[in-house]
Amino acid sequence: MPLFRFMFGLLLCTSVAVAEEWTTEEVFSRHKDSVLQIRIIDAKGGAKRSIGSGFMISDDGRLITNFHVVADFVHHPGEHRAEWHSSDGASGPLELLDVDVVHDLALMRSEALANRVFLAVESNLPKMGERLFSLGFPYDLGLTIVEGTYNGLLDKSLYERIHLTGSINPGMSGGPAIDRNGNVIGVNVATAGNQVSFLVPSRHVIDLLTRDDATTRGELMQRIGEQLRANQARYLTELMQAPFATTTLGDFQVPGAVARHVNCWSQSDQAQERLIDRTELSCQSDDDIFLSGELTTGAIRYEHELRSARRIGTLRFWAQMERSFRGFFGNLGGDEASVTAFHCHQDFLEHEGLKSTLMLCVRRYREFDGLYDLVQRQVSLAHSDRSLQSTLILTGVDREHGIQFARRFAEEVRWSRR
Amino acid sequence: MEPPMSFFGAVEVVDRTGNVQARVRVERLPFRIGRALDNDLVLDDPHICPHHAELRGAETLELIDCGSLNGSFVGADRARRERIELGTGCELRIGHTHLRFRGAGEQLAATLADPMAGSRWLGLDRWHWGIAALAGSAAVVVGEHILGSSQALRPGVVAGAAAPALIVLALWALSWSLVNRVVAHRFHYVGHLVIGCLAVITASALETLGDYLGFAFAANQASSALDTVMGAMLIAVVVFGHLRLISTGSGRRLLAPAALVGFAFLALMTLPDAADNRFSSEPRFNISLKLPAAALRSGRPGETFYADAAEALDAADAQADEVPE
Repeated sequence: MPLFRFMFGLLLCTSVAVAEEWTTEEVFSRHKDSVLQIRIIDAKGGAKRSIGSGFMISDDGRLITNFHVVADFVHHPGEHRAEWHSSDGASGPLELLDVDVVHDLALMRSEALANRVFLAVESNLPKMGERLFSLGFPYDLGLTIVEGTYNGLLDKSLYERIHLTGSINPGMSGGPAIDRNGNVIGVNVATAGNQVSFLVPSRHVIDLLTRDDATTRGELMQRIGEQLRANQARYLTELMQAPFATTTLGDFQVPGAVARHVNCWSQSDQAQERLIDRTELSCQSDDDIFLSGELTTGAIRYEHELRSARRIGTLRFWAQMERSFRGFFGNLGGDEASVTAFHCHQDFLEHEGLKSTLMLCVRRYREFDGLYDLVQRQVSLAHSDRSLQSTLILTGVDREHGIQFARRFAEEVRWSRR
Repeated sequence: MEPPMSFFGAVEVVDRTGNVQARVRVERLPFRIGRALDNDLVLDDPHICPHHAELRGAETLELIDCGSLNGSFVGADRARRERIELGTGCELRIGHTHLRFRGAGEQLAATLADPMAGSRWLGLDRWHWGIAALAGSAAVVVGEHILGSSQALRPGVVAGAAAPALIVLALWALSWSLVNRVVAHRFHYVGHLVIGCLAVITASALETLGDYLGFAFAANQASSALDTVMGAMLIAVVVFGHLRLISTGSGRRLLAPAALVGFAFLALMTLPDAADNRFSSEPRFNISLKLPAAALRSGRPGETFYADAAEALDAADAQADEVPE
């Protein structure tokens, strides 16, 4: 039934769209009633906890917004309530039907919104440079339309994201980005500032609409867990299938940019007055999945740090290595209610003649069975005057894929014996 | 030894706390007491007459007041006395001076044995040991500073870093010495300093040994527990040493307080530490990294390592099933 409604909207829109190209004024006047402000209200304080935007997607009162707009309502439904507010001053309560946490989408409904004019979605992507119009309620300032340009899909992203050159601002999250034919191309989701903004492509909205609604919060949380598990299994399996791209760091071969969506940066510190030369290679994916204000997941980050003694004895060098090993500055977020404490295992690892000390620390998500954050640190012990320290952070992974990837990563650190 | 025939006893001048200021043997009678220089016992007390009193008698001695202005008294009694029969230990008061008579036939108490006479502990109280121990602990402190520093070494900085620890050691020894002085009227500063320095050196050696073993056998938790126990034992030994230098009694009775301090330390260290129990969203890589110790054990293949690491995942699962406080 939802699919039927959606198809109807799509067809209707397509037939209108070919006929004319809309101006900004037309987009605004025709769609202003379909775009709503979403407010998450703190039940005790009675005031806004978070605000965002959303747009009507069917004639039975369903609307789409971002998951991150309604995350507090998802995690703590007893402490919050969700409301819609239209630009003409009407408002009403909202119920949550489903979410796509990986693509940051949420499907909501209000009976009071039934028969309201809704938007059609276009799953085909526009042409490069095509004008798009983004609508929403930036900074709670009222309904606003922003004109921008379609700049294709992000190349270095684990999840599909449309690159929009235009100013999406806080409060517009969840609002629609509309093409010149009046169809929804994507959902406003993020900005990097300076007119660099991102949209979730409409095809993920279609995926969300074609599923059955979740009937209970338990089912909803179960779905989120399943989405996270399926997502990490997919991208980690893909990563494991291909050979790791490696790079050379001194005498060592280390995993470099292991995937297109992983970005690496390097820096060296070899100032004359230093006692130790240091070269660092750090890589990360920029595709964290928002779970709550305190916790994001689905990240891959790793760092290799090669240190070589220059004017320092072995004992002092290893005292510095020990200090470096102990220092970990990467707060993974989360609180005691959402994750456990870290539990660690440490031992010597020997692989292809390279001996290292390896420490693996894990914590589990309390709400999502079988999902862990994993931090691994490895220090090579092959030389007395130089050592490689590699740190890997994987968030939101299951046992099987997380351990497989961590092992592969540790074993890909090799001594090139030049 | 038998007293000579002309020995009748002794008169002691005592202060208010009972300590003897002067002692004069009574070898002829009459024995004259007063401020004038021709007396047998000359007392520089302006409230005493030039010829204040005399000791007379045959088998039993008496103090006879010679018509003094301020009189003669027995102990704290306020009644002025013309004659006072003297027995051993009899306390007298003339002017503002307290006297005590000790009879010729007084039975002396048995000689007290001094357990510290010839004690090996007193061997610590020698300057050459003090200098050696201080040099040793300075080397330990400086060594730890050098190992911990990532900067080029400058003598001034190193000395500045080591100085506070050495000052604390000196004050520690001074505190024990003062206690020793008050309690036992002895002052073994060097002995206490040597004990403090040896404690620092031993603690550092034990910690280093624990770090090496902990790293070699991937048993940092066990090594830190062993460190705590060894630390408690060391503290007990140190306290015993200090008390031994202070005490005039047997060493055995010092075992209990020393052990008590050791156990108290152990109890304090095993109390759940608030900082350790606080939830942290960062893992703690709090292990030692001692390269030479790595040679003691071979590395494990990846398969074994990650099979063993399942314990950490199981522990996280078990905690996830608990309700957080």
